[in-house]
Amino acid sequence: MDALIFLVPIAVGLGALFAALFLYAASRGQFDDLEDPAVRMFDED
Amino acid sequence: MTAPAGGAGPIAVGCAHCGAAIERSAAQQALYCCGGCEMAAAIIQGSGLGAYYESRESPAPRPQADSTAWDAVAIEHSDDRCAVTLAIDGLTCSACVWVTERVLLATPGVQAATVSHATGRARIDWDPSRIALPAIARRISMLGYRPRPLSGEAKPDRGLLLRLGVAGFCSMNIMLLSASLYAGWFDGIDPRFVGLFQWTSLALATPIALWCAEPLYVGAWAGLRHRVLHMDLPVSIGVIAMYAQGVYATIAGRDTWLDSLSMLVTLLIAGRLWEQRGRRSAVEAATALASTAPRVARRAGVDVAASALIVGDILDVGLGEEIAADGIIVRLSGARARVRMSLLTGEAEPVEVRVGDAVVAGSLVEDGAIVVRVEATGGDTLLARMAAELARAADRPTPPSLTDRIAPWFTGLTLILAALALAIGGPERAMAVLVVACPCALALAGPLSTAAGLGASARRGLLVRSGEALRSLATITTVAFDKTGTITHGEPAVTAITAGTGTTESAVLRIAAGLERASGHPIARAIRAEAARRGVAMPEALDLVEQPGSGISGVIDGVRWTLRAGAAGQVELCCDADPAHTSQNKGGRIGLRDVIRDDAARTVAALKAAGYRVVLVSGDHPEVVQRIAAEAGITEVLAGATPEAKAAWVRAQGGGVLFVGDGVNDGPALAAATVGVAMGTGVASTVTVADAVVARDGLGPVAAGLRAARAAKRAIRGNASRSLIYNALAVTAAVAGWVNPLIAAVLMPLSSAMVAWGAARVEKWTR
Repeated sequence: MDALIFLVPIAVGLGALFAALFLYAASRGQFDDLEDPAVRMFDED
Repeated sequence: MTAPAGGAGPIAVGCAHCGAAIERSAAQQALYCCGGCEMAAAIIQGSGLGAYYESRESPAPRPQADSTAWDAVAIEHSDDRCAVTLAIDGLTCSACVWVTERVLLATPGVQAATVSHATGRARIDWDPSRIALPAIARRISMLGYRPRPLSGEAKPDRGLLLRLGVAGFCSMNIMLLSASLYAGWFDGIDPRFVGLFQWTSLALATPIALWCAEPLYVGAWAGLRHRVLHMDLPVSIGVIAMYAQGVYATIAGRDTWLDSLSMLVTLLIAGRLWEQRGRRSAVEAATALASTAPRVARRAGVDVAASALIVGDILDVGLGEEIAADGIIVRLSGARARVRMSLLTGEAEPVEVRVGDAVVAGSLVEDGAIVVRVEATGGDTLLARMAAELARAADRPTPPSLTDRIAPWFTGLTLILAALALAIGGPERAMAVLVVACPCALALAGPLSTAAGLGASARRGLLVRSGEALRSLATITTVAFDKTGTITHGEPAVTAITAGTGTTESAVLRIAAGLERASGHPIARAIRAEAARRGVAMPEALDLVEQPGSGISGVIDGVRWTLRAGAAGQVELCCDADPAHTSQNKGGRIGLRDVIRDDAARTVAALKAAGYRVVLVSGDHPEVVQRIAAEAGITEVLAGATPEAKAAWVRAQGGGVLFVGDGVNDGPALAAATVGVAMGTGVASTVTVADAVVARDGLGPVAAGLRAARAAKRAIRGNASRSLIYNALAVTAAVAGWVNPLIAAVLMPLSSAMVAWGAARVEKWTR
C-alpha cells in the first residue's frame, strides 16, 4: 500500500497534464464552433 | 389568348437557377427566368461547380441588385492582405455553403474563404492589389445569396468554459480521494494516507476556491457595492467558509468539507455556462436579423455611400429605390410619383408626392422617379434620431428575480443561525451551518430554469434577449399588435383579378407576370407569387420598356401590352391592339392589398384562450383598422394613433403590456411597453433595441414565447420552494449538530439534481 505515496501524486499529475491540454485547446478556440466541422466533412473536394 | 401564334404550345419549365415557373416554346432554349439567374448559373458552371445543382436541397434565391455601400465597411488590414467577416443571408443547405465558398475561392485575388454552416458567416482574406471588397460582395450577390456587413462582432467568451474544465478535473479527483477517506471511517485507514489524501485534496481545491469561483465573488461584490444582497453573496460566504475551514482542518488533521466545496462550484459554473450559451445564441440570432447595411445613393449619376452625402446634394431616386437622406423634392421625373413611408408612418399605402414636399430617409419610391435636395444626412435624419431615442428608452430597469428577492432574508437568517450554532456547539458546528446553508440548489434554480425558458422560446421562433426580458414576459396581461407589417405582411398581395372581355383571369395574370418577370418592385413580387400559387408559368416578354410613373410595357405573343397603376390598390393591364387603350378589352385589372398573416387569427384566438387581452393599435384609418381587426378576430382597436399616441396608450395601461411592432413608428410604444417585441423582418433599429425578436414569418412565436416564460416562472417557483425546504431541514440538522461532511456530500448533489429535473420540465410545460 505504500506505493500510494507515489501513485497518488503521479495520478494527479497525469490528470493535470490532460487538464492543461484541455485549457490549451479551449483557449485556442477549439470548442468555439462545434457544428461546422461535422458538416464540412461531407464536402467533396 | 394563352396559346402563342404558330408552332407547338409552350412548355412550362422551372428556371434552372431559382425554380420559378416559366414558359418555353419548342424552338426556344430559354432556361432561366431572368438575366440575373442566367448570370448566376454561368458563374457556377464556369467555376466547374455544376454539382451544386444536383446536391442542393432547395432552389436558389433569385439574384437581386445589391445596394450596400461596401466601401464604408470596416476591413481588417495587415501587411499585404485584407480580411473581413460578413453575414450571408439565404444559405439554406450545405450545398449553398459549399458553392459560395468555392466561388469565392475561385475569384482571382481571394486568398482564403470559409463559410460557416452554423452561423451563416463568411471569413474572407484577399489581396487588395488584385481585387476590392465591393467586387467580392458582388460575386456573392450575383449567385442570389445576400452578403451583409456585421457590426460589433463580439469574440466568444471562453472564461466560463476554462473554469468549468479546471473545476471538473479538480473536483473529480477530490471526490475520488474523499470516497477513500469516508471508506476509512468505517474500515479503518493508515493515518499516513489520511494526511496524503487530505493534503492532495487541499492542493486540488485551491484553484477551485481561488480561480474557478471568481465569477461568484465578483457577483457578490458587485451586489454589495450597489447595496443589494445578491444570491451570490450567501454562496460566496459558504465557499470561503468551506475553504478556510479546509486549510485549518488539513493542518490540524481533522475532517474537511472540500468535496462539497468543489462539487458546489462545479455545478454553479456549469449552470452559468449553460445560461450564457442560451442567452448568447438568442442575442446572436437577433443581431443577425438586424441588417446594418450602409446604403448607397445616386448623386449626379454616380453611386456614392449614403454616409458621404452632404446637405445640399442633389440625388436621383428611381422606381423601387430607397431615399438615402432626408430632403425636399425638387423635381419629378414623370407626371406623378408616389412614395411609401411605411417606415415612419406604418402605412403600407404609398402617398402621392409633389415638388416641394419633404421626404425622409428610408422611404421607398413606389411609382415614378424623383429628384431630391438633401436637407439632413446620417445621424441627423429623422429615422436616425428616432432610433437613437428608442435605444435610450429601451435601457430601462428590470424587476429583481425571485431568487434575488429571497437572497437578503436568506443571508441574514443564515448568519443568525450560524451565530446560534456557535453559541451552542462551538466553531465546528457554526462552520457546519455555513456550509450546509450554502444555497447551491437555490442559486442553480435561476440559471437552469432561465436557460430552459430561453431555449424553449427560441426553438419556437421568439428570440428573447435576456433572462430579465423572459421574467418580464411572464408578467404580461395585455398583448398589443401593430397593424402593418405585424398583423399583416406589410407588402401587397394579389387579392382580386378582373378579366376584361375576351380573356380570362389566368391569361391576365400570365401576361402581367411575364411583364414583371425580372422586376424587383413589391408589386412585381406580388404578381409573380400569385402566378406561382396558381401554377401559371411566366412567358418571356420582348422589348421591355419601363417608364417611370406610367408602368411597364413589353411584347408577349407578338402583341404589345402595358401594365400601369390604376385606381387605388389596382394595376391595369392594357392591350395595345385595343385602340381605346383601356383595361376593358382583352386586358384586366389586378387588385393588390396588404393582407393579414396566415397565422394571425389562430394566434389571436390562442392568446385570448390563454386569458390575454388582445388589442390592435395602428396609425391607419379607422375603417381599415376595423376591417383588419375583424379578420384577425380582435375586438379592441385603437386607430389613427401617432407614434406618440401609441406610446401614451401603452403607458396608460399601467404595466403588463407586450407590444409587437415592426417599424420605427412603433419605436416609442416598444420602448414604453413592459416587453417590446420586434418582427425580424422589420427595421434594423427596431430589431436591435427590442427585448425579443420574432425570427419566423408569422405571429405564432409570440404566443409560444409567452407560454415558455410562464413555464420558466413556474419552474423557478417550484425549484425555489423545494430548495428552501431542503435548506431549512439541513440547517436545522446542522444547528442540532447532526451533519457531518459525508452527509453533506450526499445531500448536495441530490438537491442539485432535483433542481435540474425541475428546469427540464419547462420544455414540457411550454407545449
